[in-house]
Amino acid sequence: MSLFAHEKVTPKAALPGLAARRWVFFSTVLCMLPQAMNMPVWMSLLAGVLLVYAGLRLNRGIAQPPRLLKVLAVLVVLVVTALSVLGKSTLLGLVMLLVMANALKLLELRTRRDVWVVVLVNCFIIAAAYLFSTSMLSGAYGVFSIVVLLASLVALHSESVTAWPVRWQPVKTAGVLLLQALPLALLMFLVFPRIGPLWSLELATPSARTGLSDSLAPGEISNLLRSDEMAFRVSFSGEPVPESMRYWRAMTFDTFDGQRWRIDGAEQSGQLSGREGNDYQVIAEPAASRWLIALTQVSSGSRGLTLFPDGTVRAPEPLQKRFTYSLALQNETPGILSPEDRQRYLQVPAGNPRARALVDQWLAQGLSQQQIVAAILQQYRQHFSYTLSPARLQGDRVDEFFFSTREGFCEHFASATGLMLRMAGIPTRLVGGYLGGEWNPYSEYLLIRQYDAHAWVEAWLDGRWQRIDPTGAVAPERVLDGVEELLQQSPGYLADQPLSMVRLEQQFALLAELRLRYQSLNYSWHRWVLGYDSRQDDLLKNWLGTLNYLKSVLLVLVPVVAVLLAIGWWLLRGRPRYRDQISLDTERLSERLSRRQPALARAAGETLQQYSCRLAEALPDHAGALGAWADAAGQVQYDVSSGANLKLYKRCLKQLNQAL
Amino acid sequence: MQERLQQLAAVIDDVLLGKPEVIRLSLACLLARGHLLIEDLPGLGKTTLAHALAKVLGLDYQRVQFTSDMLPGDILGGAVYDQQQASFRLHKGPVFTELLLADEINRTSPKTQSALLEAMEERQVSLDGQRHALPEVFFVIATQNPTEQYGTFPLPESQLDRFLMRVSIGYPTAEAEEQMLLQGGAADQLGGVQQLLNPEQLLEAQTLVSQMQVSPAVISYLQRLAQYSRDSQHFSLGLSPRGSLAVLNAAKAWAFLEGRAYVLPDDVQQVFPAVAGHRLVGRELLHPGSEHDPASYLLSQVDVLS
Repeated sequence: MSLFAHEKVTPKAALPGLAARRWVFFSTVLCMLPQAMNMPVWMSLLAGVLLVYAGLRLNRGIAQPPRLLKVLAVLVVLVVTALSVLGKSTLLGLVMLLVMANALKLLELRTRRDVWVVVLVNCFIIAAAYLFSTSMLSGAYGVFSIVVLLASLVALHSESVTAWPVRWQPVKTAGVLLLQALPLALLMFLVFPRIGPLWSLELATPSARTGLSDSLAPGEISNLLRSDEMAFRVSFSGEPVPESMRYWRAMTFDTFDGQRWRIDGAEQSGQLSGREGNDYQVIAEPAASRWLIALTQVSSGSRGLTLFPDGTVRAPEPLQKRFTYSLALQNETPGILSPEDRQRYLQVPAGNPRARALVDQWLAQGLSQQQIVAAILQQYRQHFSYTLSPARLQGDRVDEFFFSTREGFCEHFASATGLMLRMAGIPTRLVGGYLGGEWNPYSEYLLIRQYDAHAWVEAWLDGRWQRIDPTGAVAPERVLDGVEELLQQSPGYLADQPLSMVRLEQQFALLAELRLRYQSLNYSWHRWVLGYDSRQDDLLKNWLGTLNYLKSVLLVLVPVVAVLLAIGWWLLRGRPRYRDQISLDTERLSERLSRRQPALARAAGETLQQYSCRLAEALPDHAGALGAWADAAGQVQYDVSSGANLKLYKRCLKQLNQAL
Repeated sequence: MQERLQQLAAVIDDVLLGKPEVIRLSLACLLARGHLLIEDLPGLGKTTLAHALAKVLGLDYQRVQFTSDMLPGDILGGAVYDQQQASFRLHKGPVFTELLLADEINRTSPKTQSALLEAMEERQVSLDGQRHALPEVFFVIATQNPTEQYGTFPLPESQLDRFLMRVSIGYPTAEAEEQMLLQGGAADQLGGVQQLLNPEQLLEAQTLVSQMQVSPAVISYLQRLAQYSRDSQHFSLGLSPRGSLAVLNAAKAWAFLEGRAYVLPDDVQQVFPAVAGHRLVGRELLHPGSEHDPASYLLSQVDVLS
């Protein structure tokens, strides 16, 4: 009769049943699966081989593989991990090591204790998966694997689970347990302060490869045009700004050396205070740089952003993860240009004689500044064409572009315009950023992709900076309809991605609709779950007034600790507080021996004498030491009349421990 | 003293073959000043055991076969009219003895039963308003036939409590039975049994047992056993304080028989089924006598070490 069997054996030592073993194996495979995407192929293959082997073993029995094989497997795993991590991120290496070690542990699953270890490590592996992906899908997968993992724990502890394939009872129990934990999780999510990592993760984020660079030469943005990766997502508090106004400034270039435009005067002018700046919110995708985009010149917005005198903002540090911020819309007001700035924005390199001659000619004709701008745009309109694969420029690039090739895209036009305006004595700077974006009507946000990258010019006219987009003169549809419409036929556009979703959608309308729906959902996920950090501050402030980290940590920890203490007291209140030395020693001995062989654990109803006799039978070599120890222990513990001989007992215990 | 007792046990062992456990338990029961209930079929050696005990210890021995028409007076005795002296004379019943074998105690009426049980508890008898003390050594061995329940009055739990132990002898092993048949029955063997202990020595042994010191660890073990039986859902009737006291006394006697001056949890475990078996009532799964009888289940559940 097995009714009381599970009560008699100490649970740590008991063997997990077949069903429980299968559950644990299944859940481990589930937890490790997403890691295959982060590991090199051969690592995944090795892990797969280990898992298959472990699965076969677990299914048949739980005998250990030979010791030599185990040692060999550990060595192979160590070497392979070390080799594949060499020169890559340490963190990835550590995660791989954890995954492989877990697969190895599965090989020697023997007692419940081992299963607990595996389950615990699986929890870590699930959490580690979020280092690599925080998409909605991986979130859902994580929840799924946690449910299965908990179910395996339930199966381990429930004798009634003997059937496989599964009765769904363990899953049900696990689900109920998780639901019970949900309120606490929500509370933690809402109020627990987000403390940045104490170490910096040097994980290579894929998006960090593309994006604007901090210098600009004609021809470079076309690289971005080959990418449909997400760059920014923007939502507006009020009405969205009209399409023709969607010029997203990221940086301004003030120095031109004849080939490249650079940023020189990049002294930061201060930090944003976080007051009154919530006209639009931006989620920036990870990138290698600190650039952020803004619609207008910025003066107020999210706290912590670094403000520059040209009205652009940067993040406090490179965008290793998604970054959310909000800004205020600013009316452009007349200002003052300091003499140093005026000089900086008028700096012109030597060369390009034909352009200078043309500008001098215009000046001689007595054209006003406005008229010169108009004249340049007029030239573009009449003689130039927009193309993504222009001829290469050499020598005096502006001359060559303006007078010979007469084709190009935004950078070419902006660069030439900027130089000529400076020649005409108008302070000018080049602006790099994005233009337009795709409006998602379901979630009402604007999606800006890398191929929306754009360059234009700002000129100091009538005492303020005015935007001049020369590209609009030569290809107004680029400004009005977005790059997508304009470039569909252009060979350079998305040349690397023949199967790009954007291309497919141009043929299937339903696909476009589905994509917009999915993006809308994903946007909410990013905005409300992943990007909650930035909102939390405001939320907490509304509820609780100004907070610092210490205060909010205390606020969360104190009640949680109090509740846990109360539960602990409630659970432990019936337990005897004092355990005598001999009971403790015996327990330790039992635990130690049960690791060697589960059957050697002491049963609850076994007295010292009975236990030592049983052990002596199992370990005849140590019968003498066992007997001596049990006698001495019995005397110390039970003989009141003759007085306890503690020294003798300690000597016996020592001898026994050494013998074992 | 202990040697003498070992020897004594060995002698009885020669008479009642192959039952050393029962013999030791009965001895322990006697040493702990308790009474013994033997629950068994007829013909398994109850009388032999009682007889041998009486002879070895040199005790005054009486045997009463209980029947349904028996009255309390038949056990306790009463005033009898003496025609020659024309006065009432006290007639002492069979209870006035040192070792009383009460055969098939469940055959008689509750009234008679309780008269005997009261005498066992009080160790004295009231007749005609006068109290008469029973001998200092007073040991009752009662038997019950568990199978023939027709027309019987099974002892209720409260009455069972008066017996320190309940044991059953059971069938002998094949070997023992063959030897018994060869020897021509126990009756012949009984004749050769010598007295090994006088009543004074027995009294002294009883005193030594009752004075034995017990360590706090064993006391705590006993208490936890009792507490578990009260708290566990598997028991409908837990161990009473009198029950745990009985276990303690019996364990002391057992330790004494083992020749030890202190009590081990092993002693507790040895006597526990006999002492606690009839005081515990298990629920559903813990029927007495089944694989999981309440006493052994309790022993397996409660940790010996604190």
